[in-house]
Amino acid sequence: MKRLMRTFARLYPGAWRRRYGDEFEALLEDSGATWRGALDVLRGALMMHLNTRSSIKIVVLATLIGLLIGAAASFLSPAGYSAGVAFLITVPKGGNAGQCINTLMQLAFDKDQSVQALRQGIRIERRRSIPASDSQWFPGGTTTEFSVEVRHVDRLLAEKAARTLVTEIVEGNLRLAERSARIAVLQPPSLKPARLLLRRFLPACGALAGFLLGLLIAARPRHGGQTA
Amino acid sequence: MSDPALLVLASLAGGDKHGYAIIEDIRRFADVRLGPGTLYGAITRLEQQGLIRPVETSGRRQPYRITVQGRRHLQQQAEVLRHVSNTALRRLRQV
Repeated sequence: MKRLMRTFARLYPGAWRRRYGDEFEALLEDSGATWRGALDVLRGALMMHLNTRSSIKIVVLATLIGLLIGAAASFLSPAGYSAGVAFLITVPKGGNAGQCINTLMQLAFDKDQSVQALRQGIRIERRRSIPASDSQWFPGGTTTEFSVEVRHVDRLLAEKAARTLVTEIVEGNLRLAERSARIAVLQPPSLKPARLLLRRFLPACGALAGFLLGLLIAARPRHGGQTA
Repeated sequence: MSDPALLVLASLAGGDKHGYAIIEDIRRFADVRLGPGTLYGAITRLEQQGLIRPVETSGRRQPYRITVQGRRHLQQQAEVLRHVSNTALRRLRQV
């Protein structure tokens, strides 16, 4: 631990180490070696840099650190693909569109094991509900828009699951018709999986976050001219 | 009172001390354990402001001394703290 503390002490700015380096090392020898102490030395080095660097250097440094963290996160996170479809379910007055979608999903899960395996990566979102336009067949009914998104690291599996779901929705249309519900798939369904944007943009997001953080740090008052 | 710079000034008001002695003194009178990085952050600022200065020594353990300006500053800060403390205690008694 003492070694780690001495390593962190070398992270202080050069000018500071020339002035205080020896006595600081002596203090580290006297002090107990603890994680808390080591982190305190690291924090002190960081604060000393922030208090001695110019604003531009702080912003550039923070942007670079953000970029590196974002790139590392992008590299470490698995590639993800997303395929989806949106559709409308019209139910008569008192009908439950949510129940319809759950029935359809269950049918798809039962039918195909690969879809069942992707269950965790399937997101169903209710977008909006409006009064049914077909008042002759669905008096007082509602039409609800749903989106179903399949996310998975395997591109082919995501695509297959999305296609199975659409097939099930179309077939389910016939089954549900008996129960006076109607389903319309919104065209065109995006069955071809696209790489999840988040991973691709992680480095840029990291750099932007670093840049903003750098601006905030650079804008804060320095300790140099303050009183204790 | 947890401002490290003020704690260091209060410690040095009792006499010259090097880093470890300051940490131990503060631990005794304020029950606050300053880390090495925090202590030297405060020492750096206080020296830049002319509130403390290093005392000549032959060893590696560098003692520091509070300056006249440092004493004045500590006096002002202590009076502010006393005022705040008195006000708080008086109001607590009124409840």
